[in-house]
Amino acid sequence: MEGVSQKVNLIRELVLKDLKTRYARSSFGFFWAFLSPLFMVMVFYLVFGLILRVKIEDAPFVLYLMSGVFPWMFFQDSILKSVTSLMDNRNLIKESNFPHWLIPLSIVGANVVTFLPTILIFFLTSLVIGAGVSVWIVFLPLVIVIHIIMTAGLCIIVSLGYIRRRDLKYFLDSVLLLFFYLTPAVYPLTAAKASLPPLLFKLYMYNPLVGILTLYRTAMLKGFTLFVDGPVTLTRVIFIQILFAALIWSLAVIFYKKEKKQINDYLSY
Amino acid sequence: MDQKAVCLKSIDKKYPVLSGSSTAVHLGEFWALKGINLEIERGTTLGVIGRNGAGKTTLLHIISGVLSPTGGAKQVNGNVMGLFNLGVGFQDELSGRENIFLNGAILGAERREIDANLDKILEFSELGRFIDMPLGSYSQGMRLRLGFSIIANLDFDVFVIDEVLAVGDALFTNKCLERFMDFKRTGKTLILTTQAMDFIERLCDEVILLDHGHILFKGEAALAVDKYRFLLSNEKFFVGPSQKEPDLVKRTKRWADNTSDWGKTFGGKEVNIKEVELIGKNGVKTNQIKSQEPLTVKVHYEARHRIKNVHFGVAIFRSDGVYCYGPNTEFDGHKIPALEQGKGSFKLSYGKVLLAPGAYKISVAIWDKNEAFAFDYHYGFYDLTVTGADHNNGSLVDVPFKIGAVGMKQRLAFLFNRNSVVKDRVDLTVLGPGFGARIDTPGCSIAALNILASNGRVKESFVTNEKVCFQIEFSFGENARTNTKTLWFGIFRDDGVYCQDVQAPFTARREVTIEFPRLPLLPGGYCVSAGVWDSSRRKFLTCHHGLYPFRMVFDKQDHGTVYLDHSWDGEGIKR
Repeated sequence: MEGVSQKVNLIRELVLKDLKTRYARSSFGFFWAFLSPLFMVMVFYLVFGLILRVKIEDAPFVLYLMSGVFPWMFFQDSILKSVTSLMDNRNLIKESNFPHWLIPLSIVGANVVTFLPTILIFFLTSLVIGAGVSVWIVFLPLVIVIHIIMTAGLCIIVSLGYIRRRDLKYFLDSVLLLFFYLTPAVYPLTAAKASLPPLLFKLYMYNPLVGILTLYRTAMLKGFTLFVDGPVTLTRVIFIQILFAALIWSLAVIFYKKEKKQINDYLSY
Repeated sequence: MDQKAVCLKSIDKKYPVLSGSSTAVHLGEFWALKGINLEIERGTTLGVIGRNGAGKTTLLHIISGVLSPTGGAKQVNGNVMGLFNLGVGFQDELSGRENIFLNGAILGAERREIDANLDKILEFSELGRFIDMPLGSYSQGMRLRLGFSIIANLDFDVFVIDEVLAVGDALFTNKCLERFMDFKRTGKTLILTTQAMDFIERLCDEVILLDHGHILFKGEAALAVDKYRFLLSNEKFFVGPSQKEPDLVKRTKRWADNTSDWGKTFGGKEVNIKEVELIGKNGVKTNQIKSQEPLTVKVHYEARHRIKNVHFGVAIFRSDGVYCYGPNTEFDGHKIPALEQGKGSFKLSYGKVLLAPGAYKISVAIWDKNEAFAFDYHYGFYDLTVTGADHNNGSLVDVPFKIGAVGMKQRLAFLFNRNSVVKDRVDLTVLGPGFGARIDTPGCSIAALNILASNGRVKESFVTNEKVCFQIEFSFGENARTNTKTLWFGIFRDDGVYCQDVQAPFTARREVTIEFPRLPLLPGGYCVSAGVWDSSRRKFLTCHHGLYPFRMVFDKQDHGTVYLDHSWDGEGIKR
């Protein structure tokens, strides 16, 4: 399979296939793409907002939750769907001389299609509540692009890893749960800042997943001031994100080159 | 254009064993393909036949690029499309129409190409309104229709299709056949596997027969199909790779046999083998003959009704399973149009049994024309003992030869019964297992061993029953010419079976020639060993074990290791 246009064509077909099969024969169809994250936000709001009474100084708690949970859901969903994706799609892969990495990419692609409208939901909610828009919103496309690139690289790596190590799926289930609570998706970043010693907090901020959520919030929440008076500067966080994405992609490329010839052998059983 | 469509050079394929998988049976190393050499000309239709698990699908997957070979080099000119399993490339949740676009994209077609061809695809598939039903609701035949229609209407150079045509109904199969003919006309290369032999015979210009990952045969369709049928009838049949050339047989079909089935009878029993008589030198019934004596095998049978197209076979095995010789009337070009109802007999007479002393078994069979199934087959059923001066080191045959030595007034040639001449037998166990031992001492060493044809030229390949000379050159140290020494010379099959043993008193000559006026070994790889044995110290002064290979070829098919002169006689046998 040579040629960029063929690959683009194929990835479009794969994304369409993924979206079609994902919501095939369900009554709400594509709406589940928004309903699930919304329900998730509702549950967290109920538990953390109403029962545990978590308070955020910078923004309404609903918006804070949405700006963290939506990107996180995109990330987690992409990883967990990608990990078994080569195995799930071995029917397609064994049809011809197939560039395998298109499969995890198409999953990320399909998830982007369902993720972007959730951002709109955020802004709609923000409009309804009457909270304003951050000046940093101009950076939002950049943040989203960095996030997608980083996620896609990771997805390729885990999908390749699963070919030989089938435990990876269960391992990732647990690791992602851990990381969900290691990133400030549902609790205020200030709580982490208050309870961690400065050095540990700095390290915590260097976690690319914390960084990306913080970037999202800077761009989406008006008055989210961490980088203005925080211990880590905005440029440094962006730099770390780009570095991390580059590292992930180099790894993915090396890994793919190494595994390429044997993937189909392992896909038989 | 003389560019090949597909060119495979010593392709190997090994499947990995998944680590940590409790369900996987550990096969150890499993080689699905071994040393495949294949060149396919542009525009050829190549059939690949073989039993299940022979490596057909793996080969097709490698050609189409779905799998990578473990070793070897592959070159494919042009784009390849494959139709493998009927689930492959399809999504059950999507409709037939949606699958056309997905499948086309996977095969490298642009959306507009598919759009342009959509009507043709739909029309060819004849799926009608089912095209908008989810694929999960399709039958195997409908999947085939869809899969074939997509590929048949896209542009490709090489089309690989694996066993799937069988599920189509007769109408669609005809349509596929017509389409294949179109492809052939437009110069496209087709590679197909199927178990439908009529398909193979109708379509293919060339057919390869695969077994255990080796190419057993490559050539004309009808011949390949015949061989495949024979293979199917003969479960334990396996020889290694064959690089057959058109004229000469380079490998004997069978060199060894599985002794576990000996003493059994097989077959449909339309004909019954009633009695088998072994007749020795003076027409005496016996199951013990001397080496070099004649032997006649007379078989009495009874046919229940008239049977057409039969052939007879008689085979001799050594008691450990080594296949000595198994001629049949088919190989020998005799036609037996029919056996009449009732009793009858045939006989096979060997002029000279060139077998070394030992215990042997005889199989007798009456087959149909293609050796596809036996009417009656007495397998390793009859005992034969060959007596004679025993030389105790496991050689199989006793072929007459002459030993000559240069250095006297003329080349002396004398024929002798070597056992009466040599008292001290060479002990071959000192050489250890396998070939490759090379012993040279300062006193004596082998400088060269040449294998010569009757014109005195060095050759590597000889025709069965050709004259072959083995010329050994020695070089000696100072005090080498004392003690009694024995010259040892042996011919081995390349699978290790010891064929011919030669031992003679050794008088230190620079050059010794061992001449076989007729070397009756059957096609295959052989190698030669030679040495000088010091009888008093019971060790080799020099010995090169299996270091000199040569090949035998023959202009006809035969089973076994050694050709024995023979003739057939009986009712209904025509020459």
